[in-house]
Amino acid sequence: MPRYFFDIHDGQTLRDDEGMDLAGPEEAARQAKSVLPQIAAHEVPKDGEHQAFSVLVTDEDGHPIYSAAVTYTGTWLIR
Amino acid sequence: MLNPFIQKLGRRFVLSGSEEKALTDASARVRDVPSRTALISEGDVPDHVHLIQKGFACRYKVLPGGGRSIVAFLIPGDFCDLNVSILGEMDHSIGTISSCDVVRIPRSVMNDLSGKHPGLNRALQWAGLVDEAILREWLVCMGRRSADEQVAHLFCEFLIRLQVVGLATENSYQFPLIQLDLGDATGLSNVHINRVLQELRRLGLVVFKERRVTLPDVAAIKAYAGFNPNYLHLHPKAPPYPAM
Repeated sequence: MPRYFFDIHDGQTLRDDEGMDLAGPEEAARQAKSVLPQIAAHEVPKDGEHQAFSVLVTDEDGHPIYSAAVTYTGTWLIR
Repeated sequence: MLNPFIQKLGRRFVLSGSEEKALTDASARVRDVPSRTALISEGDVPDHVHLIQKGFACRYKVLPGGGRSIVAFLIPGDFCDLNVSILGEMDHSIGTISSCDVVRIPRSVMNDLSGKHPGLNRALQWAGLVDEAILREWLVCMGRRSADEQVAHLFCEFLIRLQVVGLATENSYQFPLIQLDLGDATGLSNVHINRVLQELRRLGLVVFKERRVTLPDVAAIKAYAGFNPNYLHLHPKAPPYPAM
């Protein structure tokens, strides 16, 4: 099975050195879809009103094959 | 070597000499099992119970997609399937993580042990109840703790459980798990676990070196994880027989 790497960016970059063995690019995209919201759900409460999370999926040769982004925007309506 | 199971029970119970001897005799036959090997699989009807003497194993369910969900870690002194004879067949699988020394005790011998030694029977019940308590705590972890807290909590739990069987110092222990195991136990993706470990390292709560985990400030990581060891039921030391 080919290996895919998932670098996460949210202000700082977290390089994925290990990667994951997955059936193919569709499976890698599916993984990105579950990972990114999972990270955002845990990280958003720790920080401010404007946050962005993105993931870049690369294959074994370092070629980007998929990217995704999730943003959080909070707005105070009482001040 | 002191049987780790006796060591574990000894933290909570006073076992008589004959009870200790009966347990030691029953666990004399040890099998060396390589790492990443299934001990029992879902659907099996085991005629033996397995006791881990050395190494790490886990209880897990295989998911329809081929993934694995770990529902318990088993360390030296832990019974794998104490009461499965009552249930009939296994509803989950058990496999080694590192290489393990595993004792197989025939079901009939187990029944005999608990029948003849009420103190031991009570201690075995305690062990089963603690397994359930750990599962409850994990349920809370998965539902209500953040990913960072959840993983930190697991490191705290390992520290206390391994200390009980003499396999941890006051703040460190050998740790054969890989990231994938942590992910399978917490429901977090490998990518997320990677991120969590980096964060815990950055905060100075966990240090990983040569397959060893060190918690430089135990009080700090306990506070961070909201860890309260009460669910491991190590205190107080109870008399071997129920009070009349």
